[in-house]
Amino acid sequence: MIKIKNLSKTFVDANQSVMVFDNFNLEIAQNELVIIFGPSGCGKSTLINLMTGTESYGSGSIEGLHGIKKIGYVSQRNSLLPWLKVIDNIAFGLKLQGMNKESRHKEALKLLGEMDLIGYSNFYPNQLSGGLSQLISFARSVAFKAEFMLMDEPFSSLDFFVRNKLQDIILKIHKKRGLTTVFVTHQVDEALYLGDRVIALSASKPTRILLELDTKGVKDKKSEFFYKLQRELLSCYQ
Amino acid sequence: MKNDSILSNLKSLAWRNFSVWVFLFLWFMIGWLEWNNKVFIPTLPEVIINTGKLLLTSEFWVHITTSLSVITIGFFLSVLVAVPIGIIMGSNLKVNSALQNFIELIRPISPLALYPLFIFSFGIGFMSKLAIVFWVSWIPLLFSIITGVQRINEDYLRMAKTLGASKRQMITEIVLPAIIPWAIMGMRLSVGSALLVIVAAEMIGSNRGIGFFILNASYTFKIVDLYSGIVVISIIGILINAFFLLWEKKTHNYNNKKI
Repeated sequence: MIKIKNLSKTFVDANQSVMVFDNFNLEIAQNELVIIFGPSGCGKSTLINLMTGTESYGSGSIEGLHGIKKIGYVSQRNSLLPWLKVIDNIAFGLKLQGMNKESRHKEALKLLGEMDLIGYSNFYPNQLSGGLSQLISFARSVAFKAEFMLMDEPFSSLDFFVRNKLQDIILKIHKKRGLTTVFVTHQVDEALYLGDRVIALSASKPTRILLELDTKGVKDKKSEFFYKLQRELLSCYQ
Repeated sequence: MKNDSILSNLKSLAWRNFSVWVFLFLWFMIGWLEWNNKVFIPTLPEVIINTGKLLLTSEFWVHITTSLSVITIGFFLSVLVAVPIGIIMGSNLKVNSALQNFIELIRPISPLALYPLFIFSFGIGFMSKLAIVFWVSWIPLLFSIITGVQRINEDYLRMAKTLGASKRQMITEIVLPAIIPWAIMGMRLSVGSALLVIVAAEMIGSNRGIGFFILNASYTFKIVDLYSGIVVISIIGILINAFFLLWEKKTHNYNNKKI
């Protein structure tokens, strides 16, 4: 379990300082897919950066990350390495661990097979569409057997149809491999459909949790219950 | 289908070198029509035949290999120095600001102005030429490397960090491959400058090398030899440039290829 306890973070520049988090608390259970939902600028990406360790916080603690050696990260932008083919991009984390080429390629091909993407193994990233690139980024973290996955609005630049398809692939892989995941989004449907739990963050600073929704098993986007959750989620911003 | 492709490649090659063909044609015509001053401008066939004959002599190859060995060693030394310093300066703002002004201070100094100092320090032989080649090579390469490092997509670094890359892996797996296009650009500039400066340096103090060969040809009034020396420099430049263009094209394959 990952526990964010009394976390405080302030951004300071020459003219002003903004307190993004003040005594912020959040718990993420093992194998849970938690959605961090909120409008742009509310601190969703900052929260991810604090968890990856690429940004430091003022006070408080993030417990449970020390034991995790493998963190997967998929960003809004394409972070595939352009000089590597798809198969080598997927196997990149395994290469860093010192696995030999034959074994890591075998792992990567297995995963590409699971995602029905085997035909793309020898493509370079610039030959891929935006959606495929994000999927390969996700596959890279899965191949690496990440114990904790951070996804920062990975599908924000994709169209509705591609996004829907990728959401199903994420759910399929998550179900099969049981990854603890924090998924950041500002899309209501995406949040409710993908998440086991949705955490709605406030637009005002310091950021606080407005609402927590249990959305485990909510997979029918046309159901009355789905619409009810949509209304509930949106109403907390009115 | 294959013949069409060969034909189209030949057409493209002919068009890309159009200005070269025009230049050679005009040179040939001036000689054929005998419009040239025969003392200072030999005809194109004369220069081609003379260059061919010279290339069959071992003495001429001594001059070529002398110049090339200085360029090669000086260039590799500049790579060894510029790449690590460029990576450190590009990735560390403090080091960059501490060294930037010093490099800006030495950058505009003409290498030929420093050549007498190199001769005083290293003598008139190989080492002083190596020093001047190194001097002109390392600065353009350094600036290219710094720019390359500063422009690395931060997501690559963040991704590698989350995948547990060590500092050494960050350099070998992310930084070095990411700066290759910039390094190639810097290397092209470096080798081009090295070729320019070595000819001049060999004219000032030397008894071997293409620069010496050209100057000696002018002193002994062997004008066709002088032209042959110039042609050989041009060919060396073209070959070096072609090598880097080929390398650059290979990196463009992953930068630009679309379905």
